[in-house]
Amino acid sequence: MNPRSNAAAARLPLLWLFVLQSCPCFGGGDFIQGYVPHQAGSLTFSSHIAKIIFENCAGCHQPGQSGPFPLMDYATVSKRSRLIADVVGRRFMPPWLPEHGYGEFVGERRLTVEQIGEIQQWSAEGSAQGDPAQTPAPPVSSGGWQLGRPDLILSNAESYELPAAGRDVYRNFVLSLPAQPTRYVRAMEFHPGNRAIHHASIRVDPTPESRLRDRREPGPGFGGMEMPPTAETPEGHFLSWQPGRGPYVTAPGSAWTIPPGADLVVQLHLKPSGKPEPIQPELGLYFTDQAPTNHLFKLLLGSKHIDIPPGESAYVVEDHFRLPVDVQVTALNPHAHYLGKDLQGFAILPDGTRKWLIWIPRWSFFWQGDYRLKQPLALPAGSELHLRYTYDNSDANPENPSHPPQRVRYGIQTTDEMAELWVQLSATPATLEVLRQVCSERVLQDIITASETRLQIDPNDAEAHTRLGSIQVSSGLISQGLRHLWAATNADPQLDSPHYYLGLHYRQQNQLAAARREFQKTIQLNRDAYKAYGNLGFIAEQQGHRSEAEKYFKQVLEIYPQDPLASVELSALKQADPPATPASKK
Amino acid sequence: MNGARRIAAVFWALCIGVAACSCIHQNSAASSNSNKGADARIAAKVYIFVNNDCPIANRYSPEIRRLYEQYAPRGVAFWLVHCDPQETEAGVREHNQQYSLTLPIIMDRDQSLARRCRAEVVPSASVFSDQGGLVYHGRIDDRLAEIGRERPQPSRHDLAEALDAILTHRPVAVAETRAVGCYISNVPRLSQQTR
Repeated sequence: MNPRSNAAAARLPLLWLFVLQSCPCFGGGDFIQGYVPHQAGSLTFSSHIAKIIFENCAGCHQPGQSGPFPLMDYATVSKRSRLIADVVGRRFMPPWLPEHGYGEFVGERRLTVEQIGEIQQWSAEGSAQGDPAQTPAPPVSSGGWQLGRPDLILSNAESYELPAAGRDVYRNFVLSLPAQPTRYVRAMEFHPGNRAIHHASIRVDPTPESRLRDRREPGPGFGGMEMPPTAETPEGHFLSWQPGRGPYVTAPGSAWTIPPGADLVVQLHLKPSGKPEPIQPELGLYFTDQAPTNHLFKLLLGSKHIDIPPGESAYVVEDHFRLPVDVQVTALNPHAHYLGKDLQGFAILPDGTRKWLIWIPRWSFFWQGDYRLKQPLALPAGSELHLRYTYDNSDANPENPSHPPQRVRYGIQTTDEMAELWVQLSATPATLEVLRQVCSERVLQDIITASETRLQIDPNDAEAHTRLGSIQVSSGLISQGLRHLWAATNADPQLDSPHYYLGLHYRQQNQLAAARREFQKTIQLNRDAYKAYGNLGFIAEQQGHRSEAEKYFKQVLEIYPQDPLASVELSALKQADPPATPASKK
Repeated sequence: MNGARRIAAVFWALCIGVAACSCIHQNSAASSNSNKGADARIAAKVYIFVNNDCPIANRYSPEIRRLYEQYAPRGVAFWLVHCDPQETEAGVREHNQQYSLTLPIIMDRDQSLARRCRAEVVPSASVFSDQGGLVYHGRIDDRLAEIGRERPQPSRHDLAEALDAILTHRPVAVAETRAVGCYISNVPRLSQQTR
């Protein structure tokens, strides 16, 4: 393959270069602003372009990695030179959302103006090869685990088949660890195994809720963007993967914990490829014996007050939070859906100085990820963290899920919108405790706002009624809370959770018959409702029905072998002594 | 020897027949009888430009198949056109099996068909009426605004709209649209190779 010789190109005067620039046949057009062209014909694949491509692109664009086609030699690069010139010129590739100069992040993928201009000029001049003998060697992929063989490799037992066509799919796999003591994870590596996986996020569920949800749904894993609330990012760590992302290695002393019996939940964003794809990624874990001494905290900036009129092209959502203590910001994870356009996170210090956390001027739902700061950013107490997100719900936004545009409010689905900025903080144990207390109230208020918003959209949203009702009852707003819980049972007679919370309330009021009735209803609707069995066990114990109590606690342990309360109660019941005073179930 | 020659002639005729049935043609020798279910009179000819390793073209495979199944029985002839001389017929056949594509294929190694169709990008489609004029060329639908910006679903099905117009004897309203993908002219044509 040698479309144009070096000698011929070198003889072109600058005038011809001007003509070639403007000729669409050669992928012409303006060069990136600030680029000073090289002498015409002096750029060849071997002299300049190979190095840029191999160092910045071939990591993903090689067999076995995420790129959809290889860019490993002259043939594969030159036949796409015009496309490459286009996408690097727009900074669509290499994929990196945060604007340079507004926060410094590990692993920034960015070409310089010089590199972009060289690619553009090389393409415009006909993509000369140069001397093949002088071409640098392409990168060699290890193909295996970058950190060596993991201590444990987890994968979903059954492969999931992604359909050939249709919208993007969200699928969650629940990975159970062998029964073992507490594990501390110092590093993690994710191998997607299939290009259809576009990004992944991993959470830890110390309860069996995710596993039970998986069991209720046919096929491997369960669908949707919403994981059970018990599946959480462990101790403030952001565990995610995007194409090109290597292993996640924790800082010394900052391992994250997997408690005994916990499951890992891997949420995958899958993009149909045109043919059915088998999905069976691998997650490699590397352990340490050292419990974490440096702790991280995930602070959630965000807003549920989102109500974007159709056609609105610059709808702004804001939130802020005043830091009660000194902290260091270590990582960020911005999140919005398809209408997100311009995402800003910044801090205003007590002296009025603004420090940028992150600025994404061209948000892409597809390329979302988390970003680790190169150096922790120290912020003193009294600093205000700000979120300012702009959304485009007009028809001019091609990624708008609705044509014509519809009213869009807060919600989990991709046709709803979200505004979140997870801010990972590092602080002393004492200051982390202050943050936890302050933020727990924010989180509670957030859940209330989210539920109220969902009820405005759909007054028959049984899950929103349940969430709101349970919080109100436990906060002392009994009659309001009960009204919501009853509304949930009417809105969805098959939903077990409102009955469970009604049972808790009646048990709290010592109305044991009513409590029994509600817990019985719960297990009738959901045979995996281990907490309802547990409560029935405590009620039976209270009423002196010991064998019945034993039966219920055994039922709990069948569903959730690690349940601590059921184990303790069963042991106590098996002894000849009078039954211990039952502890309250949450 | 006459008998042997006759046998050889029959053998080669069978081979050619088999080759025709495997539906890979070398550039514009495509005949109407390679389209499954086509009427004797062709209402329109559709050339869809693709290649094996373009992820955008591959994602279009189910839609291409759907259009073929919908319009071929109504007299529309379809071909998938490959303009990359690096591709082999065996590679294209294997690829199409993976993507469940049964359309007949043209290997357009010198890109002369692409030029006749004014096809600049993969994937794209060019439509000729029964009178032989190019009545539409461009994108299959508008799902891709640009590389990396994709609609959750298309709002305009441009190729289908053009075919609907032809089949109902109306003029094609939009003759040309901008397709998004890899540039065909970027791929060195067979005539440019030094070997």
